[in-house]
Amino acid sequence: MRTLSRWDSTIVLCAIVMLSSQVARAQAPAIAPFEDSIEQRMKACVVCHGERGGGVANAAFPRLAGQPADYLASQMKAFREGRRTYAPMNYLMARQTDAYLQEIATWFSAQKPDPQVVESRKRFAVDAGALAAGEALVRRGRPEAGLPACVSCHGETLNGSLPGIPALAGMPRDFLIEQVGSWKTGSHRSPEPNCMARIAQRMSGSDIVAAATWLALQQPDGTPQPRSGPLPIACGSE
Amino acid sequence: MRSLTRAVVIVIVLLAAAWFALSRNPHRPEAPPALHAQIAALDPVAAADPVTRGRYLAQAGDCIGCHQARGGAPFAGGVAIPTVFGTIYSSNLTPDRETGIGQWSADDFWRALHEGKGKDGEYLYPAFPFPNYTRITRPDSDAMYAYLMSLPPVRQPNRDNALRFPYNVRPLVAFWRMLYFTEGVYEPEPQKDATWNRGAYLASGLGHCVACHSPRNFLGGIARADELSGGVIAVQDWHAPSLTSDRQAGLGDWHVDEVVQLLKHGVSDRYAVFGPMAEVVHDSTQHLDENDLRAMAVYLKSLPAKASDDAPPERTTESMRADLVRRGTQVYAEQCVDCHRSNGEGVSRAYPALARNPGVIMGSTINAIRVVLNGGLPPGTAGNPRPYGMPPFAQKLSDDDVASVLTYVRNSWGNQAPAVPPADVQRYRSVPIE
Repeated sequence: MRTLSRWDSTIVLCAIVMLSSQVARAQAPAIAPFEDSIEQRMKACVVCHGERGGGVANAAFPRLAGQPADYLASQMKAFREGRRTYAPMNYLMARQTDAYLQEIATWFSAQKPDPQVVESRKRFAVDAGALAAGEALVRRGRPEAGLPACVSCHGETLNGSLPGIPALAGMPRDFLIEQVGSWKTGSHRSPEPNCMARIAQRMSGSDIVAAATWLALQQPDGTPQPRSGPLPIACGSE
Repeated sequence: MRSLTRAVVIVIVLLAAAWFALSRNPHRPEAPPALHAQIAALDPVAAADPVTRGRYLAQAGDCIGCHQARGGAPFAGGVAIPTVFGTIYSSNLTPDRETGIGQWSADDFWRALHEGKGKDGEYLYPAFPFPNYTRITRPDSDAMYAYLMSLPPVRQPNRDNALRFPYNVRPLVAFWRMLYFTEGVYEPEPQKDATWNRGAYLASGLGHCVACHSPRNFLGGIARADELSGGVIAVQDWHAPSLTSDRQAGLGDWHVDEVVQLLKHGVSDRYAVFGPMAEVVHDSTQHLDENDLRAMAVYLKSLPAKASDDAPPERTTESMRADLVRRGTQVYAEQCVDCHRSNGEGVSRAYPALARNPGVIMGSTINAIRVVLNGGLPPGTAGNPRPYGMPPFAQKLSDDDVASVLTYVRNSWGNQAPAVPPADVQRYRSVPIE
């Protein structure tokens, strides 16, 4: 039998080392590499807001992906200054600079919503009558009660209006209910004239639930359009 | 009736203690004029105009930490400060003539800092840290006054305090003062160099570190022997660690540079600030000259080792502990390892190291539990304007998960500390986040 030359044995040795390191890598849990980037920084947000802010299916945490950047920035500042109340966010935003919040907002605004979020909600049975009532309220409002249609500000496709009106399509039902409730009770103090506080006062409990339930089932496309035409109600945040 | 009896007992105790306090006669050696001159030369704003000087000093004193409400105007007060005696509301320090200190003279302002008395000579409650501010020199007080007077006046009436009986009887503060207040400007220590003395002046006066980093007794007083030995901040429920040279809980093993980095940027090579200290860095220490921060660190590291760490002993059985570690290993691999890494070393200036981190292994588990439950984002500072953060896990991890992962972290990579019982985690779920 031919003995291995020095070169042969070196090659065999290298192969063994490479293979065993591959095996070791496969066994160890995959640890994401670290990079100094905005994406790395935003990994702290995905636990609640979903991968790249794409949303989560069955919790009240809102989707950030594809929301207008001005809207996201204004909300983070509202948390920082206590005009919007949610203790964990008030705590996290408390001492951040405008520049950083703007950078965060711009990044999340450029991400795509995760379509699975809305898809997975569709397996829950919802009363068809309630859904129809929700859709009617969203599309037409209730002019006799001074309640404008959601689409008149939030965009025909409910993906939001630039510069700063948020998308409603595909937002979690409980989040939408909680938001309207916070305007009703006054804990969410948007800039005056506080249009959403006025609208919230004109909505009944069943209005809010019906609209939120229908909205949560609409697939967002993450592309808010520039607003065309005047708003139906004076709005300090826009 | 019960509260009346309690009040009588308190008054008797206070009278006895007052007699004791008055019988003390502290002796201080004089510092040579050369040392005074050397210390004065270290003042980074010595040559600036009074308003600029005052601004720096007001930052060193973290006035807005209490005198600016969230979303409110700086120095306009109105912040609710919860104490075990009730709620105190901070006052308006802007020069508004009706609702602020617009009618105060420089003498009035000096008397507030130096003697702890209001414009009409009334006793101020020691939530205002006059036991520390009494050490501020008159020129520094005058500069702070000049700065406050230069601010735009804000019309915002002060709110009445909501203190319980007998604490709402203001003249009773006299007894507290006899026990815990020694009036007097900082006197340099002749045995120490100028840097140490500059650090001592800042840390023990304007910085009022002792106000949080010491255990307080049932009257909210701090025994001299316990100063800076660490303690739980009442109501807020964070454990402010020892700042003495104690090697385990304190700064004994810390490099001065590490302390300076944390105070200047909010993050250092290994650590990050969170909770109330994030506010202190944001509002106060990031604005200070690095030499001043260094001087404070030198002073603190020189203090004799003391730690009133309320370390609970091991409270779990051996098998329960093994279960916690086993489960914690899994939780760590699923939730923590991407940032804090498999060797527990984290990533420098982004994700704090957990290995040999005193905040992780200290006896009190309050901070570790609350960081996992509430997450944290270090303050945005000039040196670290885009901080990396930690998500809250309260909504994701059960009490068992949090206790397990903390027990694992407290006993890995050379760390050694008692297990964390799940019931402790439950307790801090209901504490207000801020």
